[in-house]
Amino acid sequence: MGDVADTQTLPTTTTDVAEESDVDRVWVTIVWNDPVNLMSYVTWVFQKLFGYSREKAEKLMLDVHYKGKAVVSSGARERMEYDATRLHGYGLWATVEQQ
Amino acid sequence: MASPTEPSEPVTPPEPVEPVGAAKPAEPAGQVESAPGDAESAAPGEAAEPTGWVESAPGDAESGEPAGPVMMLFRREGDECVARLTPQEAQILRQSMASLAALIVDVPDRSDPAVGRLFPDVYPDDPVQQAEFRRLTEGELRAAKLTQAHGVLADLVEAGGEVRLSPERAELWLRALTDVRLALGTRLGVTDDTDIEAEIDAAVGRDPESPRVLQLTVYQYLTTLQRSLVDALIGDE
Repeated sequence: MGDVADTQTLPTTTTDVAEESDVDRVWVTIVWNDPVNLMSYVTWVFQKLFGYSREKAEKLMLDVHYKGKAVVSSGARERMEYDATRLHGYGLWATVEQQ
Repeated sequence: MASPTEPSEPVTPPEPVEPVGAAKPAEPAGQVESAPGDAESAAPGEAAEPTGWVESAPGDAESGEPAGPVMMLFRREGDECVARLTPQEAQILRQSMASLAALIVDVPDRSDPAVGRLFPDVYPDDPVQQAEFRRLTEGELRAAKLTQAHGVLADLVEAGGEVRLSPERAELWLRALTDVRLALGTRLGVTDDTDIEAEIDAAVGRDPESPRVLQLTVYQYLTTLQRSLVDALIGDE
């Protein structure tokens, strides 16, 4: 399980994004809240698939739970599709979009 | 997501459910928020209809003896996750995994919300991209999910007894248990606000013999079992 793009690579301001062309905009994998998956399981999946620390995985899990969704990885589109498929393999609800 | 803490007290085994309290209409309060392109699964009332998911009571008639007072859950022994299952628990797991396998063995029925939840859209807002993505990836995903369900079936012995899982095997079980709970939870119309205990009480009040009572009880059992397996695997017992 390689270390996929950290969320730190996401643009932190919108000024740059507005000037970028479609091709340059970053792709993200989003995990959505669902009423079935266990919080401990979701945390474990984030650690397992992305190599995230327990702390980071827990924070993402809590974002999913309380905010309804969280960006769990970002980068090239193909990579995001790969991530989403792996998440589906673990029963998490993941989508891919361009930010 | 399901709460990380409940239930903390010893859980009664899935089978014997006493009628408790007065009947109260099941009211799935609130729906999954921010559900992307998932209008089909957002109908709890409809989803609650039993449709061929563990509809017969597991065979206490065969074993002739009631299950123990407390469910046997997973615990950690060295690198392994170990549980002792009663024959009844083993049968519930077998029926659940068989139902799951039946659901995904053929070309998935897209009109089934449970299928939709097992194979979510990656591009919910773009049907063209979604169709292409599905064409490229779904076969593999389906095969993986089927292998997992069959894997759990292979680990189960008819008579129950000890199940001893390597870390790799425990992960396979976790994925399969997740899929079973996703499908069953979708069927039952489970939402973030669903109180399973209250749902069971309400369903028992309406008809103790109904498939919904059994399915809710099985769902609750599988949830507790999976929680114990996660805890055993990550060492947080």
